[in-house]
Amino acid sequence: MPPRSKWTFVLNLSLAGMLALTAVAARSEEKKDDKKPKPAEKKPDTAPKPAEKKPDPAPAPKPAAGDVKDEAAKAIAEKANEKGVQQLGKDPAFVLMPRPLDRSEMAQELMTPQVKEMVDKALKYLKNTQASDGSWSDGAEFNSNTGVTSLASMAFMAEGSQPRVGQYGVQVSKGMDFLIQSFQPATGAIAAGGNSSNKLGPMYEHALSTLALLYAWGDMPWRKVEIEEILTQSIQSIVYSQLKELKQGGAGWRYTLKSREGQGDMSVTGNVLWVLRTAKKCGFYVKPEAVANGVKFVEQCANPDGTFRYRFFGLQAEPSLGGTGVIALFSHGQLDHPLIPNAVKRIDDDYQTYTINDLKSRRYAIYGFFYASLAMYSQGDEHWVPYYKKVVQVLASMQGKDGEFHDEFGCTVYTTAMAAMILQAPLGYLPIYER
Amino acid sequence: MKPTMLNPGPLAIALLPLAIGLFVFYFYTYAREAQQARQLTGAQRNLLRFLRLGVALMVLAAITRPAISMVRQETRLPVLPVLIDDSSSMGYPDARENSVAVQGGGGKRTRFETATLIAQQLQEKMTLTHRVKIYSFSDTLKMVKDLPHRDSESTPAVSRDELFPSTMKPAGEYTNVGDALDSTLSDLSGDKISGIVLLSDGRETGGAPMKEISAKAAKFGVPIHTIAEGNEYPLTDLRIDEVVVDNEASMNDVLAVQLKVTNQVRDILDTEVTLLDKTTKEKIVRKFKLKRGSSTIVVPTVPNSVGVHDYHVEFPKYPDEVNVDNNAAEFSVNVVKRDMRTLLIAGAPNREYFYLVPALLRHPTINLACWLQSAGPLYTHQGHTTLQQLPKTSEEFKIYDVIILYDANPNKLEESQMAAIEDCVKRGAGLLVIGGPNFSLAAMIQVHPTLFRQLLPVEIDKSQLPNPDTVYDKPFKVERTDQGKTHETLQASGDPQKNDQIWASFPSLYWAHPIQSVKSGATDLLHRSDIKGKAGSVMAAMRYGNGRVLYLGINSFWRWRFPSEGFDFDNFWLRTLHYLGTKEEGGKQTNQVALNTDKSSYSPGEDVQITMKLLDQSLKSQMVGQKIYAGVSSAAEKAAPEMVYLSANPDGTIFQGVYHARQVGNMAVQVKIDPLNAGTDAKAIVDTPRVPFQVKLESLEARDTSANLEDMKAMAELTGGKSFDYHNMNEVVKLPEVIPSDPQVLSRAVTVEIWDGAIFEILCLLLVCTEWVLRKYWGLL
Repeated sequence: MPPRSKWTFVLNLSLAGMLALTAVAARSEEKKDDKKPKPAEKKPDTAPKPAEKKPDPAPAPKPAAGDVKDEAAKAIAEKANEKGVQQLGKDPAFVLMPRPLDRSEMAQELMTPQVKEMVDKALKYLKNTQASDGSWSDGAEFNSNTGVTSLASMAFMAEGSQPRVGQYGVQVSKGMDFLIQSFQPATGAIAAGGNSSNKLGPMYEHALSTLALLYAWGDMPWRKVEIEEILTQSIQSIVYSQLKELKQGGAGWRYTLKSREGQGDMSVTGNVLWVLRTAKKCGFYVKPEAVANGVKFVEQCANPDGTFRYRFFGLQAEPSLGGTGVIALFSHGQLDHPLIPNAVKRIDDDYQTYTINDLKSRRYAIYGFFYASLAMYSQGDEHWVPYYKKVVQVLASMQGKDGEFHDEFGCTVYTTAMAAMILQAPLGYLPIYER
Repeated sequence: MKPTMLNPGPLAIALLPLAIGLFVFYFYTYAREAQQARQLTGAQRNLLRFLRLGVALMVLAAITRPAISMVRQETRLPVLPVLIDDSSSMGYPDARENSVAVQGGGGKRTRFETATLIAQQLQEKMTLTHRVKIYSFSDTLKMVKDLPHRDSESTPAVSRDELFPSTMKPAGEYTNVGDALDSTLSDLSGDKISGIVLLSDGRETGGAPMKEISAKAAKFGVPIHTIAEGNEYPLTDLRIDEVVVDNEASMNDVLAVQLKVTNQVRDILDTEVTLLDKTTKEKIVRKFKLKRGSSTIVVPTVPNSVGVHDYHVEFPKYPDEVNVDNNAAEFSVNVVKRDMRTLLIAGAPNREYFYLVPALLRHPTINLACWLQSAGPLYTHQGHTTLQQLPKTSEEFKIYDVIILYDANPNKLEESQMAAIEDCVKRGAGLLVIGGPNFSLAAMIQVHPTLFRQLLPVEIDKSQLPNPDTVYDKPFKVERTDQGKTHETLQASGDPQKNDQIWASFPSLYWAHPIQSVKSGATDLLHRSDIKGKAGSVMAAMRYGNGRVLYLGINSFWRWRFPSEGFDFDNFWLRTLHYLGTKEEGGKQTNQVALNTDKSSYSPGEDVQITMKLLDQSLKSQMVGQKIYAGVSSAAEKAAPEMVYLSANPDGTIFQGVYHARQVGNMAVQVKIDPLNAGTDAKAIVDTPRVPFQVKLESLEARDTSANLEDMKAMAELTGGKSFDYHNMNEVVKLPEVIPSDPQVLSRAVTVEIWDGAIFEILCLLLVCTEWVLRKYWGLL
């Protein structure tokens, strides 16, 4: 989420950069001297860890069963996986990622009773904090904020609820109603008026609101025409707000709408690219060069070690931007983008190396977890499962007694929504988790 | 010794007058002489009387042929017949666990080699105490050698090479154990049989039953010692019995190579099968665990080029395998490019749409074209084929094998387009209608009242438009109907139990499209658990012309992405599209029924189990009241086929009958069902391809290569003999100890006549002479 003011943001970013540089330096030292204990070994973990699970023995080959259907499905999946990521059509929105070879029970294993309980508490917290107008507020500065409302609604969607359908159907429906009523025809922004919106500009919340409406639109026939009109304008306004091209060709987005002046940032650009690709899936026209230039901008923010800088001209890597970078890079249908492996490795290393306390004490920790979860999910179980197991431990240590998750600024709704989405990812019910 | 008279009766009576005459003459003569004999003392007179009487008695005795009877005894050695099975099954390798088994000729450890070795060891000991007779048998009993008795160990025994020359091979085509034992008992009926040693695998092929003859031996008190060669398992062999594969396959689609295999190597054999596409050199290796006996495995491959592909499929070779040639098989498949062209017309993008499109895009044989009705004019429609506009005419629609109307906007479908869709289905295309809350099927019927209503397998109340204010927060489950449980679209696994488990994971739903009922000709497949009766159907199928229509009233199959992520979800859609889009030449839907025989090869006299399974449940209604027959004919013969009645199971989906195989040759079975009360021009409801099978003469010996240890043991137990097999073969050396060596004692009664013997004659003569000399001496003459 955006910082509350320019100065606090700059200060925080500088601090984060210093912390990140320190971490990188520490890791370089570790590589030089393998005998040195790793941070994870140095720092005792205070968070409760789930019981050690013995490694599963190698799955024994199945006795001959003659199950043609299972074997056939497996063969097709193998063949498809040999091809890797496929791009189909002239403007691929649906990126075909490797599919499971076999009926896997991994999702069931990941959704442990502990996780289910955490999710249940988190969703109840969100349900209880929804305002009568359908909105959610977060902290002192995000009063009835559309971004927060979008994230909370999507947390319910991740549970399987749809507008007016399912356990939290009413909450989702009311959340969408709030987004619709927050639409500002003059600017095309989906942002509540007054001081509800981010002071730097509404792009963050606008992008997230557009995303939530895109997912809900097909399931809300009673407001279909209205939403279609809003989405058309909101997507146009996003495309129009793409900043002027840099000398190297990239063009990102920043907080402001309807203005092409300024320098883009990785966080907003990553979110916007994600929204634009979803818009294409939903039948909206997005000119291809808008996405292509956005991806170029993300490339310019990438460091060779797999990290991303918040701004293309900066030097400091922001740990929480790794996941944003990965999902932004394949926004133009290029899941095999050459920068992705390094970025994924970096996230892998991060979550394997650092302790629970290290991870949860990061700035914008849950924001980072959320985008990292999207990135790791797309890379298959090899990356996703270890990541998920670790992040569950971290989140377990962060959840409050009412089910909420806090950030360092006291926000509890957007963080709870993001945490709930992460935890429910194994359900596979929210299309933001793609593979 | 016992004296007797051999001729006491009539002759003695006949000679009695002569004897009386002679007696009278004697008395007369002696009486006359008595005057003169007075000079003699009484003793002298008595002596003479005694001598005369003795002569008379001896004459009389001679007439009655006196004899002596006595019993004579003879001692003979007992007989030990050793029977060796020389049928061809004895040429198979012996059990590896058999401690006596030896390396025979050709590097093979055959049962026959083991048997001859044991026979040799046995005869070396038993010829010291017995008369050992070696027999061989297959269909009849043959004497191999009557071995001479040896007095001592120093006398050399007949060598094994002499006894079993290399020309003696197990080649008999039968194993008539009972006959061989019966012949042995008959042949040696005059001898004392200490026991019979039987060396065989015990696997009878005919003749008198072993049990019957062993009962006979038991009655005679002849123990049968059985030495069973081989083990209870068939020969070590891993073989491919049959390769079941379609003659034609689609490029980039799964070619499921089904292998019927028999594992006789060991229980739970970890093995791998290699499938080599000789055309493309592509190799697939799959690991399997095979249980002992027959099983079916599937090796799927995905051919990626058109033309005839030659395949070689092979298992590894295992030690002791009796036949390694059957570890491999070859077959050819014609691969054609046959994409399933699919047109998805969706009203608006919702959650199902997000997951459905990638599921269809991923499948290599599906050529998908999406038309999102809500999209703007500049939008690039998704799919393998990018549409610039929705097809309008029949010509444009007819290229599609499957058309999906997914909560389609009826106002964006012209009447002509609906007519074109209907025409396509009539010609053989598949139509999938998915109801959703955006536009609803009621709205579709309002706009296209005639054609769309005809196409639907369910009845919809056109006035029942969705109420936007309704909140659907009550979960319900869906259940497969009886017909749904066997329908191919709902077969998540080929294993019914596993299929049930998978469907048990189907999540709760909150919304389904309302219907009034399922049409009479349609098949209800999936049902809401909370609504009884036909109004609760959420999935129904119907034939329409040459095509099929499937109705789906659920728009949240995506909930099945948990617990197996996209696996079950994706596969459901793929099965559904295959069901709707698979056609045969001429556009008619295929795979209505599956016809097969239980095996591909039979012996004359065996029963051929014919099974026909309905894959298309909607055929049931068309077959009501029909008697189903399968026609069996030789592949080449033009004569009328022999009709076999197929009886239906209780739910009318499986029809089975038995054909008794008689004629040797290539045969085929086919089922053709014409509609009832239809003219000759009417199209058949079912007209299956001919399913071939073979009837051939099979060696009886090769039918079952396992040893019958059980019967061999039972025979030994019944007769009081010892039984040996690979479990206790090391104890066979002790067999001579239990075979009794008591000799055979023969007793004979003998009668010797004494009247014509020299002693009798000399005695008689001596009496006469003495009497005469005394008389002379005493002056009586």
